[in-house]
Amino acid sequence: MCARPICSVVAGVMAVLAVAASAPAQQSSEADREYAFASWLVENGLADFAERLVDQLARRFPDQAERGRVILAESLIARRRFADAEAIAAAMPKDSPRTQAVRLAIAKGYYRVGEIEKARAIYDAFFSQYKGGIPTDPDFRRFYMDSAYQFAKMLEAAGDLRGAAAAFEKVLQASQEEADVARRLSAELAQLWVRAAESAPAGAAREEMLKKAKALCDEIQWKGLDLWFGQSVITLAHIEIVRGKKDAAAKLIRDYMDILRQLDDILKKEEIPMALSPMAGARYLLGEIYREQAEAALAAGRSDEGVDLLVKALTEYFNVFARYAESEWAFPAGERSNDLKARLEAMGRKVTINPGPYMKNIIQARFRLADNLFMQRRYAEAAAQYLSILNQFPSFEGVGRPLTNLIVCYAHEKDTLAMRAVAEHIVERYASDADAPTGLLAAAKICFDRAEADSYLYLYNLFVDRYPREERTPMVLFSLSGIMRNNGNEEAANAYLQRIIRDYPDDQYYLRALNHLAWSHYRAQRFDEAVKTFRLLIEKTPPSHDRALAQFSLADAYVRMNDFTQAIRAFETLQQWLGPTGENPAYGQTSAEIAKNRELLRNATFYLGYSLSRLDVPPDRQRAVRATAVKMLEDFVAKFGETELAPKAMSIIGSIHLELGDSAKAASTFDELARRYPTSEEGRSAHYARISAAVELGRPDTAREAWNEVRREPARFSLDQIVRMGDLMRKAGLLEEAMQAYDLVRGNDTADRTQLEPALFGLSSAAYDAKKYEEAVAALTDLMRRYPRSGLFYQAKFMLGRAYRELGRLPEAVDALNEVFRFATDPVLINTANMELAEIQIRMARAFQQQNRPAEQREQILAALASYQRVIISGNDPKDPKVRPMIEDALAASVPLFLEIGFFDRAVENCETYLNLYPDGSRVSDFRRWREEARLKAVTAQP
Amino acid sequence: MKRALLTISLALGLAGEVWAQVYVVTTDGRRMEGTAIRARPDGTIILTTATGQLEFPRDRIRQAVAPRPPEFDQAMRALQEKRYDEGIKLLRDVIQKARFLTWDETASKLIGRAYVEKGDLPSAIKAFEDHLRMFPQAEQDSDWIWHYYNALLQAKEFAKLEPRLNKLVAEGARKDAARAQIMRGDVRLAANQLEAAVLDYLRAVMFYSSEKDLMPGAMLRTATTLERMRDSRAKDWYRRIVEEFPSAPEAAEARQKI
Repeated sequence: MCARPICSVVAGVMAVLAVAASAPAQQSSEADREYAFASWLVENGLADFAERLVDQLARRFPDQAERGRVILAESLIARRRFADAEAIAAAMPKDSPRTQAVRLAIAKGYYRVGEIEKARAIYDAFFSQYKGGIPTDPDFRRFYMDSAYQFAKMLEAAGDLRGAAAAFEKVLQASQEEADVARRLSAELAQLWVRAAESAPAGAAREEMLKKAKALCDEIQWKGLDLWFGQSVITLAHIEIVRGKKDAAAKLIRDYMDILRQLDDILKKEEIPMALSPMAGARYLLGEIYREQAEAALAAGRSDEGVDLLVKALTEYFNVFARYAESEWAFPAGERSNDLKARLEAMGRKVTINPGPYMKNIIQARFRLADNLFMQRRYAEAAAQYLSILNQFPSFEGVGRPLTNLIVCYAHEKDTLAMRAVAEHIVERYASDADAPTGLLAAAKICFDRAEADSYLYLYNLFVDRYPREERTPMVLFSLSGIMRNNGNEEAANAYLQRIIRDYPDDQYYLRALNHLAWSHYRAQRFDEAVKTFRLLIEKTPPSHDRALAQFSLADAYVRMNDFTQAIRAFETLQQWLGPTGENPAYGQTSAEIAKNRELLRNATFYLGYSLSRLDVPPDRQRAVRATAVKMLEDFVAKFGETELAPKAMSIIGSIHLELGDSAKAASTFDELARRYPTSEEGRSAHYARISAAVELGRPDTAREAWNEVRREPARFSLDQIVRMGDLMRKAGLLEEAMQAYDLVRGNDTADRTQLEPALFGLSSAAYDAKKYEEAVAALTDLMRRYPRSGLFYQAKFMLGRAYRELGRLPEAVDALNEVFRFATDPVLINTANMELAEIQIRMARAFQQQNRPAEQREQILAALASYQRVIISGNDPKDPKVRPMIEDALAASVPLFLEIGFFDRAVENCETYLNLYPDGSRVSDFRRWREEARLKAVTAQP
Repeated sequence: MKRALLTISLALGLAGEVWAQVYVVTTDGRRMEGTAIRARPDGTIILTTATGQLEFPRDRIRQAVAPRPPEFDQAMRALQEKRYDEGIKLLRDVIQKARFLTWDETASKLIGRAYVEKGDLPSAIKAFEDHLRMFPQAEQDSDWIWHYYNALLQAKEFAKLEPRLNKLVAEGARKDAARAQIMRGDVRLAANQLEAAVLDYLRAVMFYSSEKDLMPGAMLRTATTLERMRDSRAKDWYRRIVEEFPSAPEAAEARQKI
């Protein structure tokens, strides 16, 4: 055969192998350039930048926003966010080429992470659209072809050879117009059919595959003499072997060996990948032939011949394995080599193999076999392979990757002990390998997904402890912090964050750690720590939305600390940064960021007004500062009246007016608040505030009106609020309304003690003040019955005494006061009870007087005098301001009684006590007059 | 800069004989030699020839060339010896003395650069702008105009600089567009808009990869800005510089970071 046609193999191969590095299409517009740039960013590992750019482009070129979807999808796929990418595809027009491109990109992404079935489902759906034929549009046909090829390769790697062959047929069908490409594809397809047939049981289906392979080879051979011709020779020989016709296969190979050698030499000379050389297949098949012949010889007892043939076979296999390591024949050749070596050694032969310059190839080829098992998720087998190889080749360039895969295998197999053993071996023995640590993280992720906390925490902590300088360590520390926080261990979480802050100030997680730590302090109300951390965060963050948010958080922390001076400064700084509309591009690039900044600005305006309303200022500046706050909040309400903060702003305005004594403005503001925001918390409290303001202004009708609104829809208000309103109205003398309020609470089944107690007492007070003594008694009795140990016990007993007294039920009044005497130790309470008792005794005396029962009358007067004298005499310090008025009243009440019953000396004595104790008292003239009267009566009464 | 000034000086020195010539080139392409030449304040050129004096209105002259004024060489020497004030004064003298006679333009071009060397950016910018006013065609002088832009950048006169850069990015020749893209990134970097700066540098890398001499600078800026953003991908870009431009000065800096 002449070499000349073979030389054309180079051109053909180069043409086929050449990457279609087409120049980027001329960008005709700025939008074209920018979208191409965004796509480039994704390809160059900057998917997050691409996403943000696409957001900006969507605003700049709204009519081309659709283009951004494809890039967004690419970006999401690059970041393994497949579900989000699928959501984008689902929202795109179903039949659009762009949509299909996105869906296939998702499929490729799935394939890359080992989700073969998901990838297959997408490809199947894509190709099912073309069952009738292939696309005619040239660009789309190319796309279809590339997709089919990728699908075929994917299936081949996953071990589905028949599926791969079917996909290959699609590629071939689409590439008929490109002769060189079609030839190569035909050669590959033919090989694939044979491999599929090899693994199928003998029968019609297998024969069918072999026939297809032969037909393709015949066509290749008929159309030219080139590299693919050489490949077809090997394939035809392989067909014969599968059919069991070794001699025919050997003959084919021998007949074409010269050509095959020439092709091999040309590839070597032109430095074209040797994986394409047909010599790999030829030598492998020769190895197969020799091996089977050896087995036959050994079986026939011809051991020397058998051994020679085994050595020949081993030589062929090993050469394929070593020289053509990239070829698909290398794996089986490697396996056969191992088997034969073991076989010969078992037969007592010493086998020495010198790999020479092919050592690296050999190692990589062996690992590729293990990798294939790994890809097919046959983890137990893969682990055994990796372990065996690592024991043979414990150190070489690239050892990190098989170590990683090994630990991942054990993680998948849930062999925790083996996994930990490998982990510790990695960190001890391979501490300086750059790839090996990945294994710990990969295994940890698997354990994390299975919620095996012991395992993943062990692995993550081992990683961060042993690889402090590893790029991913800050990220892992951050993840550990999150895990601890989710487990409720805030302290441990913060410890991880502190490590990032201390040890990795230049890492991307530094700022995130500061942010999380600041918020942890904030949540724990360690506001001073939060402030310190926010400050540092702000200092280290360049202008961005994150910085604006941190500034807002800082200001908010100051508010929580009631440091309104600092809060105001911080909010004002934020306002300067964001600008009047919140759209400063330095702080917000994407539409989402701009929207958030606007919200920050809005909230800052509110809190600035709030801070001004709370700021401690000297009295001479108060009005001015508060007026500023009012203006700010009024502007806020005008601009953002639909927001949740608007009613709060109005409530603050009303409070400011009240503070400044502007009751009319306060009332007007609260009215407006209740009218505009009736369902808001502030709107509901506004009624209380309205009532309060109305009372203050002396406008009971306004107060009643506000109360009636509450009464119409009491369910809108809390029971606490109603009690408070009742108290307010009672104190203002709106007794009927107060009683209504308290009754609402009493009649509500959901009222608890904190509401009922004050309501019942309030009701009794209001009723007493309204002279509805029966109702007062009823309410007090109810209170005492429900809560005998109430904190209002004494007040209730006193009131009960008074109410009974007013009702003329004097014995019951006395009983109520006796309860006070029984339990009280406080002198004020005892004195009060004595005064009350005296009142009752006097009433009783008057009643007897009317009944003309002088003896009982005198008895009661004496009893009343005793009560009064107990107040005057028994150990009370007249200088004590709490009891002094009572002593004065007791003296003032005693003297007339003493005069009445003729105890003139006692009357004089009491007068002199008063004049002594209260020389400037308001009743001095009365007591002087009484003293003179008593003295005179004392003289005239003497016999 | 010193090197640049020296280069100009040497170039002028070597072409010394040429610059002793006196001639005029008219708008219709005719060249007329003379023995002496002067200009009136209105730009009218008076050329003395063997046959007498010829007058040329300004709008009929494409170029009028006088012998090199001695002040020009004195100015160059002063600048090389860092006697900037003296050198600038001499250049201004040349402008006055040789107005409309080519040397005014040559001298004016150098004043701005001299001020930059001196460190007086406001004066430099003023000088550049004066030159542009006197010689609007300098806008198209790609070698010279970048000195002006650099001065604006250093002086943070972004309001003046950005519109020019935007125009170049949109419409300029490839090399100028690439430089403008990078410089716009520098503007954004100076304003602490790190992400926007990175995107501009990356655009330069993507769209102008054929401008090989600019690529190391664009890549280094990308890497350092990403580093400032605490983005771990900064290392990838340092590595790329070392791999793709191992002998560039930027590669030495990048190696320190890997």
